[in-house]
Amino acid sequence: METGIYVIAEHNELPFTGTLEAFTLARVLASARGWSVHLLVLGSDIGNQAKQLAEKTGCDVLAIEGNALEEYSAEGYCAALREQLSGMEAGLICIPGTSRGNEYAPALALALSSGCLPDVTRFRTEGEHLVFTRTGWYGKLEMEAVISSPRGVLTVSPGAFRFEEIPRPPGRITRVHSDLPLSDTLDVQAETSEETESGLLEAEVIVAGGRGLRKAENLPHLHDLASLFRRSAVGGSRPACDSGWLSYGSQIGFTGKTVAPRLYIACGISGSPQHIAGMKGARFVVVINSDPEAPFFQNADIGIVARLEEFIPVFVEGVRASRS
Amino acid sequence: MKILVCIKQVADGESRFDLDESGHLSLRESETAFRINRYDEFALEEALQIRDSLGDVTVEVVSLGPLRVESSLRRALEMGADNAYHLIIDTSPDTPLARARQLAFFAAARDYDLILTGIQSEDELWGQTGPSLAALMGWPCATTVIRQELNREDRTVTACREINVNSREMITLRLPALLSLQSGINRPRYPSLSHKLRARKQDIMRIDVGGGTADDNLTIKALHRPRSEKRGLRLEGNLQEKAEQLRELLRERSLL
Ligand SMILES: Cc1cc2nc3c(=O)[nH]c(=O)nc-3n(C[C@H](O)[C@H](O)[C@H](O)COP(=O)(O)OP(=O)(O)OC[C@H]3O[C@@H](n4cnc5c(N)ncnc54)[C@H](O)[C@@H]3O)c2cc1C
Repeated sequence: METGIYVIAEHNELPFTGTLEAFTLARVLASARGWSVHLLVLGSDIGNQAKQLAEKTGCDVLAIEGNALEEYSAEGYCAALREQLSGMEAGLICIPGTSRGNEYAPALALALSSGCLPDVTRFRTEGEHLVFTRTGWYGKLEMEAVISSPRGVLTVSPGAFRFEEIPRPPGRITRVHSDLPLSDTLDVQAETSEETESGLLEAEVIVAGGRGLRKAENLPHLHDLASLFRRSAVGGSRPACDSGWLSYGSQIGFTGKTVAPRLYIACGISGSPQHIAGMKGARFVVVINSDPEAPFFQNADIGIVARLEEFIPVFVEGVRASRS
Repeated sequence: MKILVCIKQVADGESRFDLDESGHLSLRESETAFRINRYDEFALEEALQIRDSLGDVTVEVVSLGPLRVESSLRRALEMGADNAYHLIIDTSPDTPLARARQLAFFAAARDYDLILTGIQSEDELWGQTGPSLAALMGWPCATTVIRQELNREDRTVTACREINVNSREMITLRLPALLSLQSGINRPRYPSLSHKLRARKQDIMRIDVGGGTADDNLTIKALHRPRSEKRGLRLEGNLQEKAEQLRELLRERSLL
């Protein structure tokens, strides 16, 4: 099997956002190295998905089909990919950094005796080596790492590489059959719930709160602040929802809502990559945080180091006074 | 039935993360607050709830690290863990696979039915120690779990995995299995006074793991501060002055 980059699509992650981001990293890496890119998609009847991917990317697609692959399972994906990729002597396997991708990547890497690096955000070349960057330490530091095995497994941080379609003829599709049986993983079932109404998607101004709210009694500050703006809504980070201060329908981020308001005011949110992934499209960002080192300040147009429960009342008061 | 919960001690997120010249972390330990990784608290709480509802369950906790991690193990005992194990190592290996190898070595001969971990550590954000441990043990595993149901008779566990807030996956795994839990699965308890008193008398079992195992396939080179995506304006002055500046800046842009 030729040295190259193998991107593993997530067949039920429509519209393939994570897959296309992983493909984008692969495409850049490939041109830096002179490698080829291949897309692999797994499922039970995935002609349609394979076609979509081949058209969108212009890249050749290998569709691995089998009954055991109808729904995603870590075990099924690992077994099928191990079989398919064991002939690969060198190169990289790029996986979307989604809940599923980060679940099976370590097991796949171990099965292929490869190094595994999750949530890659950037890379550079240093002589022979590819040096990858990922975020750690609460987002306050980044780490650089090198995969030293000939084969490597990467997962790609959500939102780090934006896919842009380049007009190209569609790639070729090859379909292969896998007759792997399932063993330990029993009946996977999907469960979806209705989108809850939070007003976030229509809002022009979003006031978002995080763990820095510290208690439910501080929640009115967010609403007071939001009330100054027309077409505004209140949302928050995951911990604000976990604590019950906000409903999960108001969660903004990679596993919550993706928003793009004209103004985003983040109050007591540290700015983790998973949160940022959901609000990167905001046009103007104000960050209020008591920690001058909070990583969110790196994504802010205006940064205010202050305790939110002290700053917001002063600001709200000032605006109201100036209006009357 | 025996459950193992893997616990990592982390420096609090509001700590100063300074770097030395070679790009390695130099924490001023005396000025740093160390505590249990919050995701692991969810894992411990889940194990305790399983014990509360099923009875006849032993909950053990394990942590890898220097002596200071014993304060976190003590806290786990206060929350209600039955036994605590400290895998003593001066400096924890820096990759999740190397850490998982230590944990797998510890867990291998101990007949656990279920291992619970947090989805990731809040400090390094790897999210790989749990699934790597499962892979090393040859066990099935599910991550980002927001609900689980253990079936002792069938020896299975059904896990609800969160893909995103509107989409989940139910998967049933045969025991022994590993679950890596997402935040919000429960509300971790505060230790009761009686548990605190009991925990004082409990021993933490120490196991010297020596030099540690390496991960030959991944090398962490150095850490650095992230480069800024935007050159934002940092407002100066007292609260009043900052508030006025913000008002003006938003007005100039017709945002207010
Ligand atoms: C698979 C997965 C998916 C995830 N998806 C999402 C997602 O979709 N959305 C999301 O948000 N998170 C998500 N997370 C969680 C994410 O990793 C972070 O843990 C989370 O975003 C942190 O939320 P936070 O910033 O509110 O809390 P913290 O990181 O704890 O930050 C709190 C901040 O408040 C500041 N603060 C404290 N007191 C005050 C005060 N009085 N005034 C002002 N500031 C104060 C602190 O300095 C700190 O910066 C996900 C995690 C995983 C593993």
